[in-house]
Amino acid sequence: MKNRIRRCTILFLLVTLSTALFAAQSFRAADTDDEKKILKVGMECSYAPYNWSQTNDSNGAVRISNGTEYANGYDVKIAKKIAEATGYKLEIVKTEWGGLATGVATGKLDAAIAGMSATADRKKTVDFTDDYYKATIYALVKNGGRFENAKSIADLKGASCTSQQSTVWYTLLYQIPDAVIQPAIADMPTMIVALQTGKTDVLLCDKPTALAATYANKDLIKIDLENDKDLKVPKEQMDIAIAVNKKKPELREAINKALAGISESERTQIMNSAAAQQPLNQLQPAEGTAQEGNNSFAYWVMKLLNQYGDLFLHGALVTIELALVGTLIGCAIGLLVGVLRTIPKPRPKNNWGIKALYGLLQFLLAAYIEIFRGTPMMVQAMVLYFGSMSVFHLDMSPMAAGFFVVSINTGAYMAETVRGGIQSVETGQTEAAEALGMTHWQTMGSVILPQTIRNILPQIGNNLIINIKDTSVLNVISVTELYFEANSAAGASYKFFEAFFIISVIYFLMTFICSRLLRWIERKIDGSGYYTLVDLDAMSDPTGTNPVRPKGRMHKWGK
Amino acid sequence: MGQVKEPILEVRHLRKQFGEHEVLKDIHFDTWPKDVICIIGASGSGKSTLLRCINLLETPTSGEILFHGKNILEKRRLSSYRAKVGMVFQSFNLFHNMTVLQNCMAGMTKVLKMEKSEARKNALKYLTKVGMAQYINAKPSQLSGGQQQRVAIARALAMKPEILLFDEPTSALDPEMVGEVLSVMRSLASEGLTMIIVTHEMSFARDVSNRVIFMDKGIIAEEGSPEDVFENPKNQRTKEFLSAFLKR
Repeated sequence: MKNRIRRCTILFLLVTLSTALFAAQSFRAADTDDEKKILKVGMECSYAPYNWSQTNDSNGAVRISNGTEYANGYDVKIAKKIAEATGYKLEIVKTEWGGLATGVATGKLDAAIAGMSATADRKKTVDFTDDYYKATIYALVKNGGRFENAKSIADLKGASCTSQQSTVWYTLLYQIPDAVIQPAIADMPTMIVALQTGKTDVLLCDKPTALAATYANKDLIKIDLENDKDLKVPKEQMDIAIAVNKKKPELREAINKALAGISESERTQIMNSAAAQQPLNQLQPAEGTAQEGNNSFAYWVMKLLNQYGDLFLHGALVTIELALVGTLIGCAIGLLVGVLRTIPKPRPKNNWGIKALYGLLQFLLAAYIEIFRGTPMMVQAMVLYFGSMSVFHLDMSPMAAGFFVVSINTGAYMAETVRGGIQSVETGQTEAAEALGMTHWQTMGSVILPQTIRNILPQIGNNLIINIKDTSVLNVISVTELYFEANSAAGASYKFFEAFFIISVIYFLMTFICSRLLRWIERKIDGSGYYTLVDLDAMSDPTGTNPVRPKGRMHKWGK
Repeated sequence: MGQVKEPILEVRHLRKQFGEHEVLKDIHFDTWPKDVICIIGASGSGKSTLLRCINLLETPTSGEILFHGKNILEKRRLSSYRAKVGMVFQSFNLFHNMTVLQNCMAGMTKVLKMEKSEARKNALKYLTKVGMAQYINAKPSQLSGGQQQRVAIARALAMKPEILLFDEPTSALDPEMVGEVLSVMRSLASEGLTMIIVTHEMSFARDVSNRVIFMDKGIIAEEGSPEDVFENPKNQRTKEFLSAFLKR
């Protein structure tokens, strides 16, 4: 009994602790000085060289207000100049790409400086300032490939080509004569791999991206298409501008005034310094020290670990926190549902109200299990995270949604496991408990469930391990777990295989340690294979006020 | 203390059907204080079902079971009734997650709401009686069948039942261990505990019981003192059954 209370208390504490952590995280943003007027600027902080996040304030990086890292890049440098010229205090808010326009439109952000093109679509929700950069179009080809000597769109005739999903770049592909246009690819690292492995001949992207890609991958060649007469690019697509709220024309004017003070040559110089300072470049061996071995797999793995070790560690902690808490709460749900499913059927004598209630309960429980076992966790996460906002206007944090989805999913699986575990305890023990006069709940609590839990421990371990791996799907709702962080590192460094090799090792270590720990817990619960005979003299104190001392004779039975 | 005038338990017109199959047909018998009733009969004659109906592990199809004159099938005070009618099972059914001591204390603390120290004192008293007090720290799976059954008896006794039901308590035991369990039951009988025992141990039934019930195909075929039933059986089926046993 005491043990059970202690276990419940620990569970409760864990839940409270994680709730408190979220609260602390969400309140941190409000904690700023208000001497100067604040300019809240949103950006992704993962779109080098426009903006990226780094671990220190080197090269004039600015602390991210809703995180522990620092933001830097072309956008940050421009934002600092604007803040200086307009007399604002700059605050950087890390925001997902999809949330930037909404953030500005709703007033959560004052402006979005995020390498954003001033498209007609976006102009419906926000206003744009004058452009602060012109992103001209580049093509990427492979050194030693069919098109290594191409200089223009015309030279790319008949090439197989692709670009990034939902970008203007992809819509330009049809201008390549006789092009074989392949399906769009979700992110830049994958596009690079496609080009390197020969799956595609040509990639279209903008200048900063092309600079970054060729810097990291010496086997790629960039082709400047800015002055190519055969390529027609709508002007608005090249204009990278700052989004501001439609109701703040005075802010827009002030920013435009500040932008006018930054000359074309100064912009080029700022972009060049950003391109040189981006995390990717710091990964490169210093000039002149380049050796054969420096491009090896092991070299890059070490380099990534040095540069992004904190990121991987943070991701691993979030993953293990999600998996542990989710599995614990899931087990609690599973136990409750599993026990409710074993309530004996009402007897024929019982009135219809009890029968109807019983039927409804059993139907709801079965529906819960079938629905959550029968749909992918990824889909559940998206429906919950975005659905709660659009239907109930409930702004769930990604972590809260993550905990909820993992718990409810594990609960559905555990409910069936628990039902099986209850059935595995022989009915004789239930009968014996009932013959003593115990109620259904007393029988469950003191006889059946303790044995059930022991019997299903291996299955709980299975669920924990599955959860450690499957939380990776939560990256779709921006939970910063291990896979998400690895994707960021891969995106910034363009070193895809190395980053995912590192996290596959981390995933394995986490699951391996967990499975060993669970075996240890199983052995603890089983207790020793020994018992001690009690000296009969001790029976003179049958109340147990003085502890009965084992005589020291050990008896071992089988096994 | 004079003779108590009314029976503890009266079984009236008890019937039990499993689907189409009628296992018990119109069973009728009384149990008086200090009775030791042995129920004998072939397998499938309904002995165990009768016992399980008395403890309501099976719900009778019709009939009455009166406990101190009150029909327990009408008013469901199941918990308190079961606390007063103990049961010992063929396969012991000890709680495998508990030690010997915890097994014996569980009913007292949970059902009778007894203080822990009090329950422990009682448990040790009855464990001493069945000779298992030394083993209070052992888990059921570490004990032999005979030891487990003795603990099960102590667990039932600790509830201070008015009647103790035994459902073939020695059938799952090695011949060697049968003796240790029967001797415990003998001493209980000599102390005047009211018991209803379903058994195949004929010599035990003859020595210990004051009444023997022979069941055949769901009815009580013969009932009487052990001398009557074993020495001068009147029913043809009783004769056949007993002679089959004696030949073994």
